[in-house]
Amino acid sequence: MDTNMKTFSFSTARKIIFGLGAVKQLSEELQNLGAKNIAIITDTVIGQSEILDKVVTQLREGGFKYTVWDKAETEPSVAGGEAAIEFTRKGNFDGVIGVGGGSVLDNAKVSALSITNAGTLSDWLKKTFQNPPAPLVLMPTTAGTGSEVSNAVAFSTPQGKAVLFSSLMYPSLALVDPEFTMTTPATVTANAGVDTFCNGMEAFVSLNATPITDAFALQTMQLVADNLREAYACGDNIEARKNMSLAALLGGLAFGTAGTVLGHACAYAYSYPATSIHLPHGYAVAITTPYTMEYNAIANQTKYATIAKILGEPVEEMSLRDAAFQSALSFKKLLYDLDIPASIRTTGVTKDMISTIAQNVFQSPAHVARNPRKVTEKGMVRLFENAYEGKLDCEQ
Amino acid sequence: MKAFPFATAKKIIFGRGSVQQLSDELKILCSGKIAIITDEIISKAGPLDTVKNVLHGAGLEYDIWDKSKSEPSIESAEAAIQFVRDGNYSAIVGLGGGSVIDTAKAVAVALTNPGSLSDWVKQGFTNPLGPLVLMPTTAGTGSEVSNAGVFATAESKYALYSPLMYPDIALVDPDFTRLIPAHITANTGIDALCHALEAYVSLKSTTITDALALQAMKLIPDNLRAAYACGDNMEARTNMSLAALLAGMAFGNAGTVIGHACGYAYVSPSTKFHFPHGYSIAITMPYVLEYNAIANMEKHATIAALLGESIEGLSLRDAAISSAIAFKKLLADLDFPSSIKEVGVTKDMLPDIAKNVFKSTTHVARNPRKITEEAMVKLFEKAYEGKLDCE
Ligand SMILES: [Fe+2]
Ligand SMILES: [Fe+2]
Repeated sequence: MDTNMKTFSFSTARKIIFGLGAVKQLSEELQNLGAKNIAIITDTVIGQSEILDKVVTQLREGGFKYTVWDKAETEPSVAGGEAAIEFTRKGNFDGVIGVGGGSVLDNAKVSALSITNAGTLSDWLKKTFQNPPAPLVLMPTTAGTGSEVSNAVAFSTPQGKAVLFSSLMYPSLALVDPEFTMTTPATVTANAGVDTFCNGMEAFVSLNATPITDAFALQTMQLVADNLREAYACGDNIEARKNMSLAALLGGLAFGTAGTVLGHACAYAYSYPATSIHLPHGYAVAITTPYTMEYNAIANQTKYATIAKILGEPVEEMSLRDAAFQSALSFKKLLYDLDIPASIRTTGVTKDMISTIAQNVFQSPAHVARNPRKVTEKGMVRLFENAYEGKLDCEQ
Repeated sequence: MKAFPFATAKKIIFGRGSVQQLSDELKILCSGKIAIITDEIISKAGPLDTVKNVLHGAGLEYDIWDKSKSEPSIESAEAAIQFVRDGNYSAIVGLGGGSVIDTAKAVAVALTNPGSLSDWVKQGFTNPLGPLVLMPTTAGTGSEVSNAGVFATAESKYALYSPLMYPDIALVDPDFTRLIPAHITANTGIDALCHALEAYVSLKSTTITDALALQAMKLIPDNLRAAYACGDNMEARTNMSLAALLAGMAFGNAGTVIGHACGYAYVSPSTKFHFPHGYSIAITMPYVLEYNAIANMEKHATIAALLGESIEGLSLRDAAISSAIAFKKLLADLDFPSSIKEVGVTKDMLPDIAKNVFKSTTHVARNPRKITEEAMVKLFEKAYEGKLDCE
């Protein structure tokens, strides 16, 4: 490691519990946290599923008071977040559980903040908040977002995505039970799984990467490379599912501190709300990622060569430069195997949109600033042209 | 794989010069006078001056208690607690080696809990700690990211641990280790390596702790040799500080195994020997690796490779066993004795020492290979002669 290693900091959820059947530890953990009257934040799909039954059973047997709010939206808006807050403040709760995907967990975070802070979500988005949240347990039901260990929430506004983050926002407990992900349909498994890989990979190459986040990012990518195809091919493969769940958690530990980079910025640039094209988050990230990898490869050849190796390429006999570029080709193979297209044309992007999309990348200034290669508008136009044609430069 | 938990310090700050961030962090944590817990050696050396300057520059008020002892007794920690209770402090800064850090944890418990340390050791405590920042001045114990403190009485050692005992901030500034003498660099550095490799083979290891342990093991072999050879090598020192931190996060959750138990078995208070913590563990570690290797050959082969052995072309079994040889080479390079005979252990002590291993019940329970008294006698006989079976 280099001598001039910068100062870095690392934080995560106060406690993490991972494993099949981990939900059974919920009531004991709530007891330790001292919460008695609990708001359960979820969405209608989870609200009607066995997953919620399991959670509620824990609370009932533990003698806790609780109320379920199942109105979290799939793409959380500020208005939706305010609704969660209004519900929470009416109920006199002293603890919050979030059960669901990334959007649900974001709602649960602001719900817990509303117990200990005055003001509204729009206030906090403008000038943050003062107090740590009430006891907060986050239980993800998709393996992907890593939101359960991060200190950020994202809500869409008419102008684009608004992000709130604070070192105070880490949850008390991230409780990850892979059983919760067992019923995820194959396409969601694929989208979320690729997102997990990209979270790990982008954290790995981020300018904010640290030796701690690298340790987690490397494990994340290896687990996805070894398990995602199998989990997609057969959702009954419990071992593969469990490993994907674990990968998502580790990915969260990595990008929670190191951040994601150009890969996520490009996805935001061509999908809703920047354009009118609605796409699942992981799917949007997946399609443009081969092209961001190719763009970035020369900025950190060693790390991109490592990525290629993790993806299973025989890089031993290649030059460092070729090994680095091989990572993009290898990622394309992964997309092929998961039936995800490698061209944005398939999503409804037309050629005349490309110059606007390229400019949109700069609306994610934090991602751009962390990216290992300087981002230019010209570079982005070229990148999206390639993504439109579905062809990497190194394939020609 | 059973459900597993993972936790660490609420915030970790690492880097040369990161001490400059101390005042900003303290301003977020508290608004009142600060108690600095340290020992006499540190208080006469550079690190305390640096800390004082930072606090001074930011207009923060503080007092210093510098009577921490090298293996803290319950009494000496109680004295620190009394000091803090007599004043009106709103946050604790621990600055020193593992013993100082442990004392600072007990003091932070006292900020928010009634009772005494001996009460807490017996029955635990209920309230979260007062604001606590831990700043290690050695690269080894990893105590700054753990939730445990170890205190001695005349008869035994007592551990205080609690899920509430993680500090708010572990602030690791490698510049603090610059002036550490070579032999302490070796003792603390080898302790960090043992933390990493014992956490890695522990039955409580998880994918999360493995990620951290592997990073630590990658860093230590080359950087420890370099830092021992030349203490001015700040790149090596920085990497050792980082490795000790990563290893601390790993063993803070996965625990250590019989490497540590064997170290404890032949030193005080069980016998009359007083050796530094890392030193006592290091000497028996090759024999522990040889003993454990067959229980997890894959992981022991990885250890061998990370310790620099070329394992290509070896069978998995031979690669696993070569981890012991690799560790022995490292001991030789750091001028450690190669047998417990050389440090004063006599042959007639071996049966008792072997029995002592079982006193560390949790270490034994986490060990990848089941242990028997007979096997431990054999292990210590080898450690006595300084000869591995595979040599
Ligand atoms: Fe993502
Ligand atoms: Fe140790």
